[in-house]
Formats: sequence, C-alpha cells, structure tokens
Amino acid sequence: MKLTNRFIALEKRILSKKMYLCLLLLIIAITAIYQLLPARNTSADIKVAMYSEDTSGHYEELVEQLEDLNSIYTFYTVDSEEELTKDVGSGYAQCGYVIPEGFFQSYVEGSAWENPMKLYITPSSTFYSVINETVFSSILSVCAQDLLLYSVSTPSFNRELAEGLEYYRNSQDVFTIADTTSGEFTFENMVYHIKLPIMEIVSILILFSALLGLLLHLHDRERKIYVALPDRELSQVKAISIFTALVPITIIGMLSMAISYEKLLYPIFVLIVSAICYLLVILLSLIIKKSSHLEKLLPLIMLVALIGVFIKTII
Amino acid sequence: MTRIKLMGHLIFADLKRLKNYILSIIIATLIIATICGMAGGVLAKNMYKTGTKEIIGIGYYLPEDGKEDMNNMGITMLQDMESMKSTATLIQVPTIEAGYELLEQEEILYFIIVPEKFISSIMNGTNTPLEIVVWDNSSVTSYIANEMFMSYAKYLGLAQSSVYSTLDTARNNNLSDEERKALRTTVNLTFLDRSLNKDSFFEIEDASMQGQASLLQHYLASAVMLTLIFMSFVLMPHLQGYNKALRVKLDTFNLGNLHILISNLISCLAGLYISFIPCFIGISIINKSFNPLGLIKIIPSLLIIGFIISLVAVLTRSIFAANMTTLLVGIAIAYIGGGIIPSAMLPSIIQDLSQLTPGHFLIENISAALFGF
Repeated sequence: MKLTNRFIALEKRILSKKMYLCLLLLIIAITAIYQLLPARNTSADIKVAMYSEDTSGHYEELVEQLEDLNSIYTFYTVDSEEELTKDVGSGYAQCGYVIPEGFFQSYVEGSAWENPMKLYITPSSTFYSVINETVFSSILSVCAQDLLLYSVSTPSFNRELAEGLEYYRNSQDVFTIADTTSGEFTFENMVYHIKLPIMEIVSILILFSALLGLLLHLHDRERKIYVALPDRELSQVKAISIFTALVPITIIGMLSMAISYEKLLYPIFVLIVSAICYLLVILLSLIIKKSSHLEKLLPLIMLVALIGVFIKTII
Repeated sequence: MTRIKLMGHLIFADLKRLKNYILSIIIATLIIATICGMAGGVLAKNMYKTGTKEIIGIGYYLPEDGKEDMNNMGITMLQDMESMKSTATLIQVPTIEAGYELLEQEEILYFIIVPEKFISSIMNGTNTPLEIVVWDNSSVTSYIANEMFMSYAKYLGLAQSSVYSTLDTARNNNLSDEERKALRTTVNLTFLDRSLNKDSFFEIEDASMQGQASLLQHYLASAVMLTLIFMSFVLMPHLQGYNKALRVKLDTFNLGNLHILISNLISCLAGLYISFIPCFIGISIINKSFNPLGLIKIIPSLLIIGFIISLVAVLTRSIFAANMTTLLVGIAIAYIGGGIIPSAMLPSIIQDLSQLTPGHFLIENISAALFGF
C-alpha cells in the first residue's frame, strides 16, 4: 500500500513538471507529423548539371544535342556555378560541368588543357567517367566542323569540307552502332514514405526522462524531504522515482510506435529500451550523489546520445 | 567609488574566480572535443557514401584474320579509356561458343563478336558491322554500357566522316597523293587527339568542399565550435554565481543585469580562449601545420559564443535550465549553419537562412583560424 501511494504521489509530481509534459507532447507531435507527411517521389534517372560561361553559341547547340539524346542521363542547365555545386553537393545531380569562356575555341585549337572545363563530383558520384564519354562525344559532334576546317587549314576548301562532313555524318557510310537497349527500363517515379528516426528520438527521450527522474529525486534528498527514511527505503524511493518518470513516456512511446509502424515489434522494443535506460540510470545513481553533478553531466550524456543516434541515421 | 571603477573590480573578481575552473575547462574540452571530433570524422567519411558500382564484364572475340596487331591495338585503345577502366572488364574469349557460354553463366553482360578484317574495313569505309550480343538489355547497367558504346561509335563515326570529306575535297581539288595522305593524317590525328585526350580537357573539382575547407576540416571546425559552445556546461556555475545578496549589493552601486552580462562576457571569453588552445594544438598536430595567426583570428568567434553563453546565463534561472538551453541552442546553431549536415543538403528554406546565421560565420571563422584559409 505504501509502495502504491508513493508511486501515485511521485507520478503526480512528475506529471506536474512542464518539461516532462513537453517530452510527452513532443512524442505525440512527432507521431502526428509522421502520419501527415506526404509520400515522396523519387526518380531513378541520373541527373547531370551544366553551366557555361562560353558565349560562342556552341554551348546552346551542345545542350540541345544532350537533351535530345535518348539517354539514361538527364542533362539540365543551371544559372550559376554556385547552383551547380549545390546540386552536386546535395546529391541531386550525379555530377556537373562548368564550361569556361572560350572553351570551345580552345578545344578546336587543341589547347583546351590550358582552359579546361570543371567537372564537379562528390565521393558518391559513380558514373562520371561514363557520363564524360557522352558529354565529350557530343562536344566533338558540336565542334566537328570547326575542328575539320581548323585541321585542314585551307579556307578555299571550307565550304566543300563542311558539306562533305554534313553528308557523311548523316549517311550510312560511316560507323554507327544500333541502340541495343530494349526501352523496357523506365525512369518511373518511385513513391515512398519519408522515414523519420522516431524510434531513435523516443529512445533518447526515454533516457532523458529516466535521468530527469533521478535528478528530481536528488533535488528532493538535498531538500531533506527523505531525511527520516532509513537507507533501504531511500533506495526504494529512488528506484520508484526513476520508474515513475519512465512509465508515462514508455506508454506514450509504445502507442506512438504502434501507430507509426503498425507492428508489434516496435512497442516491445520501446519496452526493452525503457528497461535498459532504467538499469543504466540506477547504475549511474550509485556514482552520482549530488544533483549539481548530474546537472552538469546530463547535457553531456544527451549530447553523446544525440551524436550516436545521428551517426546511426547517417550511416 | 565611481561606477566604472566598480565595474573594473567586478570584472577582475570574476576573472580571479575563473582560475578555479581552468582544470575543469581543460578536462571538459578534451572530453567534448574528442566526442565531437570523432563524430565529425565519422560524418565526413560517411556523409557522401562512396558509390558502389558494378563492374560490367564484356567479352570479345577476335578472329584470326592476319590483322591481329591492328585488332589488339584497337582493344588496347579501348582498354585505356578511363570510362572503360572504371566500368568494364574486357575478357577475350577463344571461340564464339565460349563467349555465349560466359553470357549464359552471366559472367559477362555484353559479348562483342569482331568480324574478320574489321579494322581495315573501318579504314577503307566498308564498315563491316560488329555483332554485339546482350544478355539483358533492360537493366540500368546495360543502359550505361550501351551509352558508352554509342559514344565510342560517335567518336569513330565523326572521325570517319571528317576523313572521307577531306579525301573527297582533296580529290576534287586535284591534290597529289602525298598531299592527300598528309591531310588525311592531320585530320585523323586531330580527331584522335580530341577523342582520346579528353581527360586533360577537364579538371575534377570536389563539390563536397565547404568553401575552402574539405569536408573533414569543415566537420572538425564544427566540432570545435560545438566544444566551445558546450563549454557552458563548465562555465555556467561561474557565470550564474551571483547570489541574491551579491545582486542586491551590486544594485546599490547601480550595477544591474547589463553589467553582470558584460563581466560574464569577459570572463567567458577568457574561459573559451583557454578551451580553444587545446583544440588548436590538437588540430595543428593532426593537420601537421601551425598557424599562429589563428590564435588572433578566433577572437570574433569567441566573442559571439561568449555572448550567447552569457545571454543564456543571464536569462535562465538554474544551471540545469541553462545547460539544456545551451545544448538545444548549440545544436540548432550547428544544424542551421551547416555544421551537422552540409549546407547543400539542408532544406532550401534553411539554406537561405544559413548564410545569415551565426553558425555559418562561426564555422567559417574557426576553419580559417585552425587551417589558415
């Protein structure tokens, strides 16, 4: 009876703490947000960003040619180098090309190595060397006429050479390769539900609640509330204090998991996390005897837990 | 006693009190910097997951047509292309049947059957067709390989078109055989150069760089920023050490919250500087470079962080509330400033905000102080 009364009294007290209520509301809010989040579309195509400072007119031709290709890559133009690096850096584009002023002219004259393009990649850009072939074969195609006239260097032949090149490149007399893909592969948008690390967030909040329970108990002891209690009962009160801090958040956490994932496994997992947190905080209470020490240590524990969860989510 | 003199005494007394915290500051710095630094290192390594790409097996059959040297030269040129090196493994098969067997066993995705006198047919314009057998023509891999072959064919087709056009023009203008040959060679070499030397026509830039800093340097700067912000866990008892009696006494000399804030800011600045020194030494050792100017460059960051911590100390009523507030504020500053996830990966609204927030400036300034940008 005494135990039940203590439990009820401590439960009332923890539920009167604004910070604790905020934690409970946070879990409810996250669950609601998760339910209301729209499904997200993603596409399997490989995006390549293009930006040019070249004003020779070849760039427009190149972009037109790349866009017209029946390619697995989607080439698109951006308005600045900054936008391009952002797209590649964020993973939206597989890679990005920045063409400097006068690049096409120097390409034709064979001095492009002095005025090279910039190819922006990240460690996750896997296909850039293959994309290079598509880009450079198109650059060669765009510059083919200029390149031919430049290499022959006889202005009186220019018209004839240009007409001849145009004739042959559209004829069956030169080497071509038939498209071997069947066209069955489509870049259909895949729809999936955005994932939030709810389990991880709930686990952190459970740990925080348990620590809060211990902190409140230490505050009470320092205020000499339990001064008349023998040591054995004091330990019992400490255990109940931590337990009462865990009960409401565990129930809300289990409900949140059941609603979010609709699987029995997740609520059980919350229960296990609560049990582990309970044991950890009980062990911690054997070392920490002063609330001021816990007040200093608590943010550090939370920091480590947050870093751990964040790294787990990223990896 | 004038108010300024009293203010001076207050600052001096606070700085004297700070002496008791030096050991705690150094120990806390080592612990928090190690945790944040390790987390930064892990993030820098994993933020951009290194792409795993399937290497495609491509089988080829070369006929015994007496032109083995030419055929091998063609294959070597193909093998030397960067795109081929990074995407495919070329496997020569002794017979056509062996190639089909490898296809069936899914050892190769493509099987190229080179016809007799293929290279000479390209030279003379007969262009005997290649036979390419594909195991699966609907997967992403096959699309990518197909794209590669189409590009190679485009190079070849354009070079041929140019050579044929040159030869026609030379013939029509009655050039001698030698002149024709010389022109053909020039055109051939020009197109060969532009097709094969493309790797020198571009420079690879790392889009994961954060300004001048590499991703690892960026995360280390972010870790130092967080360490300095979280130094409030140690400094807070010092900053909130004004009890009621002391406040009343200060009040009688017309010294209020603003004066306490200023005094707090100065002692906080000193505490943060003590905390920065081990970080600076550690990073200098890791980076194997010492940038003494960094010890001056860091001051604006220390002022900003000191101001934030002092403000939290004045606005909160208990150490616990102050610590939890700093924890949340610190994480928010780091997140919005791109110190947890690179700016480019943040939602667009936060990206726009990021440039205006102290976090962005702090990380840039700390990077500059640590790495000498």
